[in-house]
Amino acid sequence: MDNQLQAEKKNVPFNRTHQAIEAERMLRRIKDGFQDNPVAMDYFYDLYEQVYCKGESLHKDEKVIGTMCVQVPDELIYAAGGIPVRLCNGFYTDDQVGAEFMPAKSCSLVKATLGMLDKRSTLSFVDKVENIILPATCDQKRKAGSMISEMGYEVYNMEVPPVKESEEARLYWQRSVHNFAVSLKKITGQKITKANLKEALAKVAAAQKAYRTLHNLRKMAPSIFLGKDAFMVTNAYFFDKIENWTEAVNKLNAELEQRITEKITAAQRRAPRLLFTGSPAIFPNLKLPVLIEESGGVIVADETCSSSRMLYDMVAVDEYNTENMVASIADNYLKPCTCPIFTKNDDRKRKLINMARDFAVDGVVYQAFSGCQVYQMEHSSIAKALKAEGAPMLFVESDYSPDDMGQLSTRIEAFIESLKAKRRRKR
Amino acid sequence: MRNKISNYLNNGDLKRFRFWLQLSLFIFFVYGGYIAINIGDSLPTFSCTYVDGKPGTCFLVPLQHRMVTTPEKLFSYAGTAILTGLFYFTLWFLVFNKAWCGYACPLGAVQDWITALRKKIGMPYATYSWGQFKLLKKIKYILLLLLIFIPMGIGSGIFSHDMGVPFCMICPARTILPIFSGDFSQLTIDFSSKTKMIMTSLGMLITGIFLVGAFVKKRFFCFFCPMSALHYLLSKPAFLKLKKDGSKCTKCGDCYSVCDMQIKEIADNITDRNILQDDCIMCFKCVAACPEDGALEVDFMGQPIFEATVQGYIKRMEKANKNG
Amino acid sequence: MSMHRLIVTFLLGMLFVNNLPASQIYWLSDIAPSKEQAKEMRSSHGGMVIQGKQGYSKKLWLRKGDSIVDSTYVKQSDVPLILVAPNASQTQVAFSNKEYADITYEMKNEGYYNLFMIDRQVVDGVLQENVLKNEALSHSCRNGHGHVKDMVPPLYFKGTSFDIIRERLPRESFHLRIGSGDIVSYKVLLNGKPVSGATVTMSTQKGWTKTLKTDSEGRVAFEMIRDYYPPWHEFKKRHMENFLIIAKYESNESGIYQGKHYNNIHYTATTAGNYYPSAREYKSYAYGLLIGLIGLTSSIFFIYFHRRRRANQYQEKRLA
Repeated sequence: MDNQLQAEKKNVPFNRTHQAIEAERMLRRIKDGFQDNPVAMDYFYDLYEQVYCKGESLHKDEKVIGTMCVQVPDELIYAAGGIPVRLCNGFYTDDQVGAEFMPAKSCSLVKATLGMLDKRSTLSFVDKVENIILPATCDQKRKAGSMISEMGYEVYNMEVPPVKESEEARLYWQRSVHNFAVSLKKITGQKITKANLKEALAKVAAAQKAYRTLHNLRKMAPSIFLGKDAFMVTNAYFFDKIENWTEAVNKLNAELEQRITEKITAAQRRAPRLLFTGSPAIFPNLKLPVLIEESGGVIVADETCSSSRMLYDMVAVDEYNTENMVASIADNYLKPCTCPIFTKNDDRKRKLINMARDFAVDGVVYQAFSGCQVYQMEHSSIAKALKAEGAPMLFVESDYSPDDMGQLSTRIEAFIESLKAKRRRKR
Repeated sequence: MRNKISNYLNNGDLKRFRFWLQLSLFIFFVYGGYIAINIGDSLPTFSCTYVDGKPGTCFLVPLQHRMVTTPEKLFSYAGTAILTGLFYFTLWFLVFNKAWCGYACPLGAVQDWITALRKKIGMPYATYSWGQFKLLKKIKYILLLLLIFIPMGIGSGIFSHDMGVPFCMICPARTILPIFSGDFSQLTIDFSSKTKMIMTSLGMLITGIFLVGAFVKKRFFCFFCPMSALHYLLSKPAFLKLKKDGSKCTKCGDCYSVCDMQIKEIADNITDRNILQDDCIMCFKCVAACPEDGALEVDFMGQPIFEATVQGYIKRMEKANKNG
Repeated sequence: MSMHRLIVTFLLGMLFVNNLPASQIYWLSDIAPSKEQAKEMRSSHGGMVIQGKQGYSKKLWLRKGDSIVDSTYVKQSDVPLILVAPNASQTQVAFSNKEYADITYEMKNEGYYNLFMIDRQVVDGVLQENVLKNEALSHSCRNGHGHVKDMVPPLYFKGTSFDIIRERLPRESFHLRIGSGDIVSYKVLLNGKPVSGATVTMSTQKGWTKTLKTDSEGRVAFEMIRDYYPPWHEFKKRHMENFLIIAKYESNESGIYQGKHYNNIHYTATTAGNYYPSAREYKSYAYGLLIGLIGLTSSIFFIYFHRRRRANQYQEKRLA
């Protein structure tokens, strides 16, 4: 049933539901709390308003397929005629719903997503999601699968190898993706052919190209684009129509290039440049990035699965026949994945070091949700590696509740001050 | 100006460049002799001696001929001839390193054309499993040793002279390349002696296997080529180099996806700078498919002439998606 | 020594030599008279040679007779010979006359060595001019093949008035072996110009002969006969047989030679050659294609069944 209809049933207008209010608050803070937002960002602000505050549905009459985790190959879903929508949720409201049946020390993201899926009734920008693709990644996502299917959804588990270096793992994942491609036909009713897979690859490649340009534009010093907007843009990729999204990002890139020539910057020259990594910041849980930028820092790069990890790695195909295309796609979704669920984190370390160098960052903020074992276990080795590179790291353990705002802002402000001082000392 | 040139090169359409260069060099190596070109007999590629219009000869031919000697003579005047030939071979080889395989070899060009035929009918390619790969890659070294020691055995009287050029007898270039100048005489079985019968039968059998193998696997023969083994042993000081900057590598595996020879090190090795492997044919498809600026590059005497760039990668992939 | 002087010396020398008895056919042969002598020779491209430390040497014997089988070995002769090396330099050489009238010379360079013996005498008013010629090839594959194309064409020797030259087969190289069924053509020259109407006889080791007359361009063409029919398991593809070429021409010129008057000149030129079984007799296309097809089809089957098996099964892993 339509969202608006559902809301009306409860006699609460959609935009007065808890979620809508939470969304509106964060949206206001992001939009109005900063000056001189790029004009092209209006598309994204309006999009969020439409979807989160007004409850409008985006993908009417399309076969929407919910995905959780970044390992799901979007190209295959597009080729099979579906629309992949990332379900990972950022609402504290839904987090509280999920807390009713989830263990206390669980990851907020999983609680929120389960909460959202459970109540079905109000805010959900995904309308009629029936099929959910869930790769068996971290403990909590893995166990969430059976809970979700008990809620009445069709859950498809993708088998993800816990070790990604070995040849066996690579072949295992290829087989897993192949099985997924075959199963998609049952879900959407459309078979994956050479023609539609090529089209899907082109679509996603166009989006990735737009993202890459944006990613590289953020290397500019002084920075011309704020991290809070970058997160808005990439979070929109979760649910927006991919062609519209690509077009909007291209317009944004054009405007940013214009700003470069006009020498308009988004942050001061002295603002410390930060790299944000760790548990994904998903709207409206952008409190940490927004805090950082309100305190005078600027997030120039990020390494999270709600942002760069989702869009950065591009697929190369040697021969355009379905077997080889699916194999290339599979390899590309496993090998470069720096998600901490794998046994080794060497690739993540190297990526962070590389990004720290390329973007000339002054410091790194590492967010880990309480209850997220994998991110928390990796943070000390990452901190060591980054320290050796001369980039101090701030480790922040947080969750969706707004109670820790005070403590967080103190710590963040202190960190940024120390970076500013370091900069001054360098000079 | 320099930036303009490097941008032009880095955004280049490698596929088209390679196609035309391969075609021109194929014509040169199969018909060049007809216009009286003679560049010697120490060539590091399959400029086959059985081809009437060859502009020069593959080094393996005089190597096998000159190895027909006794150990005493080998350490005196016969050895000098071999070393002289090896010297000229090294000079030719050092300039272009293993790009002789990827761009100049006429047998390589034939295999790439067979691959293009398979692509046209939409058949997917075959790959070796990891176990098969590890086992089969040793064959090229075994063949190199055999083509050196069997002629020595002939010189010492162990084998008959009919074993003359043992590798040439089983090489598919001997049977296939002369066909391009209308010469089918190498497709015969020679019954004049038992040795000749066995060797020519082996040669025809391998030709049949080669045609099927090259159809299902990209650059099938190159995996077993003794010339490739010889190349690799001399490749360290060469001018043309394939270099990797491991810190920029995201392990996306795109380079491995496109590699004809299934070389894993190109994707997995993030420590070595000189990333050339013994199977590599230096076709540079990996560099063309790499989406990270500067992760892979082709150097000539220390100067990068073709680097992986995001821009170039996107251009090439967009074109490939349209046409492929 | 310049060529001019050499020829003059040669001809003067002929004044003092014992001429060959007239109206007999003489020719230069590389076939050894006895088994022991044959042992020191080995076959190389183009004929029998002696393998030395520095390279090859060629040994030739003077023989008398117009058929190979009945020809005898001359024991002694003082007629001088001219050796023309591939680089066109000429030296005068003589028979050793130790046991036979034989001559051994070193072949230091790659290419054709031509040995000429020119014998003139006037008998009964007829000038008998006999030209004995032997063309020997020196080639080792060790020396490469870049120089071959330019060195293949035959020598047109200016120091003789009557000559017979073997014309090269199309695409001939140093590796040529004249085979049964090949068309071997000869050109007869008189005073440097092709002459028609000369009689050329080819006579093989087994006694087959054929006589032809040269055409307007001085050419004759013989189709080599096949006369080697061993049992199949004893077939040797390098089985060599010799043939002898005798060219004759009469011209009505008169003049004076060595004080004697003549009204006719009878020219005779002899040269020899080898032939081998044709490659067609032991090389089969049919079997070649059959085995190629076997390779092709068996690899197709192998790949097909292997991939089917691999697609359906996980690979077996063994501990030991």
